[in-house]
Amino acid sequence: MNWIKLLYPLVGVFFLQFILADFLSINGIRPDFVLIYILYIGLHHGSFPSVIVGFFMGLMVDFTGVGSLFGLTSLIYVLTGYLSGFLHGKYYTMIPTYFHLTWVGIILFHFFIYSFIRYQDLFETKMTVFWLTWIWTSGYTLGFLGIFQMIIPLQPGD
Amino acid sequence: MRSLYLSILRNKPHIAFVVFFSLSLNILLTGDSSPSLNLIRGKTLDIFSFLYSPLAWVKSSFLLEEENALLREKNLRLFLQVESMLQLVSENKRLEQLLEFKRESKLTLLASKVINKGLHSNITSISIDVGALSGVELNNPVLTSSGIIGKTILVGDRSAVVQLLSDLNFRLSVRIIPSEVTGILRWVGPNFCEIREVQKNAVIEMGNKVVTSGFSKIYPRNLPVGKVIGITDVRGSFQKIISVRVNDDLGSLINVFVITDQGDELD
Repeated sequence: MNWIKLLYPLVGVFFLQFILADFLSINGIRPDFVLIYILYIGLHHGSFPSVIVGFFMGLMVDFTGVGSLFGLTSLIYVLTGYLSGFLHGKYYTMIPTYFHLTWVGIILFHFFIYSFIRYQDLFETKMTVFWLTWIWTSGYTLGFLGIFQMIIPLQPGD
Repeated sequence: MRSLYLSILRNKPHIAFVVFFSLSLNILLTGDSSPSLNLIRGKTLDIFSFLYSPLAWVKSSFLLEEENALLREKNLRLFLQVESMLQLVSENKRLEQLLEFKRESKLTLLASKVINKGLHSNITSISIDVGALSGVELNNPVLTSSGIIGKTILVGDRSAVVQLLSDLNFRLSVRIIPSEVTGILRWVGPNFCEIREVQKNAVIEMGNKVVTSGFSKIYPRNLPVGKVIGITDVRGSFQKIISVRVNDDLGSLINVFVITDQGDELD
């Protein structure tokens, strides 16, 4: 595995997030391009690089400014990187529908953990608002992932 | 030895996961209160703010024309208001002298520009272009012309991070006027907050103004926060829940003010 090949897009994705996140914000919800890249790394290269990239990118994202829960982004990126790595090389051994449902599930799980920790107060007091926040946050990123997926397929070798 | 090495090599994704997950968890649990990490965060924030400043400039240039038109309209409205208020001021002065009221000191406001709203999926903080060198300190209240939006939580030399109302850990002691009922405000949804633990017999009406209570050491009293848009009686409880619409759209902040000195407001 060539780490340099991972590094260039990494810088690009970080700056894409840095520049576009604000412009694409809808009602305070933004797409997470870094997460999409970590999922790609996991699916194309396995758990090991995606965990490492996830950790450092999470730290970078938090360093750009977070009010509280510093380190949460690293934690969930590491988790997502690790889980997505399990799908590495599985496209041809799995039923394609299951393969796609699994990565969608990983993204939903990622945002569930994120929302659960960040909005734990809502989870206890306003369950409906919590679920809506979770659905909107994950749905927005999944929408972009769906578009990218048509340009660069998630399954390697296609 | 060789088998151990091979075993590590075979299981390196799992080992990496355990190591980095533990490291992240440790940062998450200790990061917000670690002075050394906060120092690094402050320095890094300055760098990112510098990198983001051209983008912030481009963005504000796009919005300049629209903002200019809005300001012209607001200026005219304010001019008309000032005329009527000038008469009220002279009357107020006369009444203050009569009642021997202590004249309130003015707050020292520092204007700043929003340079970054973080990279997270939800906006819970913003970065502003003023820092310790401009006199900003930790826990300085941050507001717009419409009201309170948050407080400074991390201060670099030339930039600072503002924890917004929408952050999980943000709470604001507020008062509802004219009933003078106080409570703790917490964020619920986009520009929508709740005040819980309000006595059921409190007389509150829709449209009542919500201001800061002044009980907190951070926020001076009577700063606008929002207005009441809903009142819910909780069955089987002695309390009711007040829904509040905050004055600002937190997602579209461009310029904010930091209160760097509260004078004798807290006295």
